[in-house]
This record gives sequence, C-alpha cells and structure tokens, in this order.
Amino acid sequence: MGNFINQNNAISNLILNSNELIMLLNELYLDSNTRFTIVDCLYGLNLFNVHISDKIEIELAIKLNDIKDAYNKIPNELREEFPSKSRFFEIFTKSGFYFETYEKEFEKLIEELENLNILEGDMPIALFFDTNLYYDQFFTQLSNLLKKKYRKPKYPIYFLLSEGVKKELITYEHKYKVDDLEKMKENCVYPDIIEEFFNQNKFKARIKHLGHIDFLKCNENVYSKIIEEDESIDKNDMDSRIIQGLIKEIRQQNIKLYLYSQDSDFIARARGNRNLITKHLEKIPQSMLKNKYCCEWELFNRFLYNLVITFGAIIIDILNSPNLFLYGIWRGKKLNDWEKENLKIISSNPILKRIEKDLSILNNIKIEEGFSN
Amino acid sequence: MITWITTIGWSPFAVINPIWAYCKEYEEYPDRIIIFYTPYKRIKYNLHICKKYITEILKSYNKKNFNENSIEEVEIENDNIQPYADRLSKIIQREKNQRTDKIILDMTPGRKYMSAINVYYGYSIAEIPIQVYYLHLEESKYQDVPYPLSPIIKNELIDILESSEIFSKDLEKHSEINEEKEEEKLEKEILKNIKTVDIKKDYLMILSIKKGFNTKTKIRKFTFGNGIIIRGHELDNILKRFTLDNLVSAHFIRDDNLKYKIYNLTEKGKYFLRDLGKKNINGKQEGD
Repeated sequence: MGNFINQNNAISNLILNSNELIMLLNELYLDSNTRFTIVDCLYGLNLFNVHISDKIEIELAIKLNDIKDAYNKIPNELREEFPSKSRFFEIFTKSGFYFETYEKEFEKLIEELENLNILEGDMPIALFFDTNLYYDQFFTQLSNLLKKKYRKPKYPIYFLLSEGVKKELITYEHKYKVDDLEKMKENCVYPDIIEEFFNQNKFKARIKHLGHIDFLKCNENVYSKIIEEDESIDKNDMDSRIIQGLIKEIRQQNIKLYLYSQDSDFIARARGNRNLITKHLEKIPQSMLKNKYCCEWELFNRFLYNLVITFGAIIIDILNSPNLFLYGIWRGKKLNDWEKENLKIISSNPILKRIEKDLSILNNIKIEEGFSN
Repeated sequence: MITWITTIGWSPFAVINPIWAYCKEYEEYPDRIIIFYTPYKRIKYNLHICKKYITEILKSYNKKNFNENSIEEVEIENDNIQPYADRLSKIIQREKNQRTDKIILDMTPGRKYMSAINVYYGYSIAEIPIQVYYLHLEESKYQDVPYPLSPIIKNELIDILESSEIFSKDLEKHSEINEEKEEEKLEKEILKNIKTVDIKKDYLMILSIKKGFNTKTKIRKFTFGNGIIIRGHELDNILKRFTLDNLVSAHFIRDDNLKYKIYNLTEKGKYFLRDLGKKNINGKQEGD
C-alpha cells in the first residue's frame, strides 16, 4: 500500500457530500491516477480494484467467502460491528447495481400514472414502500429513473409514508464508547482509524440512518403524506398497525395504493383489501454477485458512499501518490452530516487542496444566493 | 493579460463552465471578462447568476489580478447580427490597443450567429493571439450542472481554431506519409501485434509525435486514422504521463495569432518506441 503521509505535504481534510464525490473522481482523473485499490478499515482487506474511465470499472479483489472468513475470525461479542457477507453484498444492491431487475415494474407504473385522468373518473394512485425498501435505498434508486423522466424534483407521483415505518427507521441511538473502541482496535488492522469513531453510530444504527435518510428524501422529492399507524392494534405488531393505517387512508382519500415490499409476510398480511395492490419485490440473491461491475460515475458515488458508511472508513490506495482516507463516521459528525450524506476525507494528497478550491466557490455561491445546484 | 469574451444565453452554466474548465485545466486565468447580453428579463437574471459565479471562480483562481470591476457588461440589441459584430470588432480593437496578451472568444453560449462571428474574428485578426473555445458537453443532463460536479470525461474544452486548422493541414501530410516506405508496413504489423488497448494508445501517440503529428489535435487525428479514438482528457492524461516519464517534452510556439503546445520525443521516448516495436514484431506479442 502507498503512504498515508506524504512528507512534503501537510495532512488536510475536507467534507464532501455523496454528489460532490464526483470532484474526487475528477481530480484523480486529472492527476492520471485512474487506477486505485479500495481497502476496508475493519478487516483490512483489499476489496476492489477500480479503474476510472468513460465509465467506472470495479473489479472485486475478494470473494464473498473471504468476507465470511474474516467475519468468523472476529470474536462473537464484536461481530455486530463487522459487515457479514450478506451486508457486504447489500452495498451493491443499495447502490443500484441491480435496480434494472425492478425497473420495468416501475416504468409500467409511471406509464399508468401518466395516463391517469382524474377528470374522467380515474382513481388517484399512491405508492407505499415498506421499511426494508428504505433500508435498501430504494427511493434513491427509483429517483434516478424519475430524474431521467422529469429532470428535477418534485416528481409528479404521490407517496403515502407511514409513521410506523418512520419509527422503525429512527432507532439509531447506539453509539461507540471508549470500551467498544478499545475492543474493536484489538481486532482491526488500523486502530488509529477506529479511534475516530468515538461517540458515533454503531453498525446497525448506521444502516438505519441510511434508511431514514432515504425516507426523508422520499418525503421531500415527491408529493407525499405521512399517515398515522393504527394505534388501536398491539404495539408489538407494527406490520398490522401500518397496514390498518394505510387501509383507513385509502378509504378516506378514495385512492388506489400500490404497496411494495421485499417481505413476503408483510405482503401476505396486506393482501385482500379493496384498492390495495400488493407488489412483492424479490430480494436479489448473493449468488448474483459478479466479479466485475461497470457503472456510470454517479452510481459509483452511491457505491462509495454506501461502502464507507458500511465499513465506517475505507482507504483509497493510489500507487505513487498519498492515500485517501474516507470516513463515514468521525468524531464530531452531526445529524446534518447524515442528512447531507457527507463523508470526511483525510489525506496529504494535494488533490484535496484543489477540491477545496472548487468547493469553496460552490459554497460561497450557496451562502450568498441560496442557489440549489 | 488575458481577456475572455462571452455572451449570456438561456443557460448560465454554458457561460460559467468554460471559464471554470479553462482555469482548472490550463495554467493561466482570464484577468478580464467581457460579457455581451441582451436586455431581456431572463437574460438579465442569468447575467446576475453568471457574474456571481465568475467572480467567485476568478477570485479563487486568479486572486491578485481579479476584482469585481474586472467584469465588463456590454448590452446589445437582440436578433440583430450587425450590432453584435460591430461591438465585438470595436472591443477587439480596444483590447489590441491596450496590449492584451491574448483574447479568448467563448462560442459555447449565445446564438449561432454570435458563434459564427467569433470564429470569423478568430481567423481574420492576426495582430493579437485570439483563441476561440467551445465546451463540448457529451450529455445534455449536465448542462445545468457546475463544471466540477459533472464527470470531467463528459466535458471537453476545445480550441476550435487549432482543431480545424490543423485538421485540414494534416490530411495532406498524412497522405504523403502514406505513400512512403516499408516502415509503415512494419508499424502496422507492430500495431496488429499489440493486443492491449492502453499499450496500443501509447504506441500510436509516441509514433505520431515521432512523425511530426505533435500537437494534441494532430495526435488525436493520427490515432483516429489508425482506428483508435482517444478523447481529450484521456489524451491530456497520457501526454501528462509521457512528460512525467520524460518520454516527451512540451513547449509553446506561436504561429500568427494562434498559439500551439508542441510535443517532441526525447531520447528516452525514442528508445521506448524502439523497444515497444521490438517486443511486438515478427510474431512476437507484448509480454513475450
């Protein structure tokens, strides 16, 4: 691996949001550093070899079983903080590498929505996503399709959002304390990096944060209504509370609701209700993991963001150039950083100074005028 | 001093992004910006946005020499070719008298006739270096996105005069070369034997410089003529790598009002070319 510190350059750091990661790729490209390796900071594995070109090529440097083996070496009481092979695979599904599986379903739905004529008596249509779809960043993935069609939000579709779903998504209070970090440091290759995780969200809480942000994006970018779950039902049966809340709303608004979920039990419970159409979206099996992926730059940004959040931190290892350390959690990370999907980059690589220059231009404009670019 | 002349149209980023691209990718920055605009509400609003961005960009990139007075606004009547041509001509004359080092006419934004007039002046005025730039956007989805937030590979700032001039000259030169020697047969065989695209690109680019196709546009044309498309940024990257590896050296030359960056092969570059040739001749293939 290359050097952490280049003696000639001071270490600097900056915060970039997931869209601004394009700037990082641009600077790497301009520096002719178009090939690099991504190393995770928990297991210390060389995960991917990346090539920046017209599209981004990602070559897996490991197999799923390497993650499994590394996971099995972690003491039982710490395993919750380390991604299993299924969590590792989910990075790809969350980022949108498999969204094409569902794309036709949603294209058909958009077509139906466009052909609706309420004045001729057509019933308005609303959509609903179950909790697990937000964990899987489904709205972010769907919004790429909506962006192609409508260019900018607010997109002309109507969502019902449930308080019950929100409650499931916001239970992300668990944070790393000194004792947690000491134990983790004993089992990690980069203890100095783990030190930065102090008082930040633990693994499960990070995944929930991702889900909650996806939920909030949905609320902001489409026409939506947040509805109450049915509080007359037992608190422990959240699925029924959510479904009954939706049924009440369907009756009140006289609408047709498309309910999407990857949970077959949830789908089974929701079936058989008037104007409630259930759509079961099959989960992508791990066996679908490829050795190589090729994607647009924007999709790679999502991938990088989900990867860094999942592992807490990663290293971009560049030959003959100082490495870049990307943190998904760091001392002092705030709610605002989650909402903006910020990552912190630490490096002595001079590209950080160049990014900072362009970033300050964009930020100065935003501050002065409130432009939303 | 560099003067950049541009026109406000419907898309502010068509005005802003070429300046941003120029500052990022060249090691020189405009000192003065002259902006033509028409007196329409939307255009005036876009002028306001453009000025904000340009001021921030140049304050950041060209700290010492730029302040808000460095931007000059020139109002013209709409849909009338003559006023634009007249005003532009007078401004170019004035800049010439003020001993401006270089004028850049940006033909990315504005109406088509403005772009045509820009190119006309770019060609016809010989006393002062004039460059005409066009920011070529590969995908329209990036047209309202600030330059650093779109993939650099999807944008290319093109020196229109250099591109077009050299293209026409080279065709003849290329055909002369084609009539020559056995050497070409050998080169073709080497090229055929190289299987990796990246190495093929390296070989063709070094070969083109050796043959005198020694500007960016010439190199691109040569490689294109040999069935390999290398786009602007990639070409820049490879040339940057060649320079760092001391395979080529680069310097600027001036020809009338045009300024070119010329690449020459170093001794190391000549050796590299010979070595690559040897490795891929007589049935051998790279890696043998």
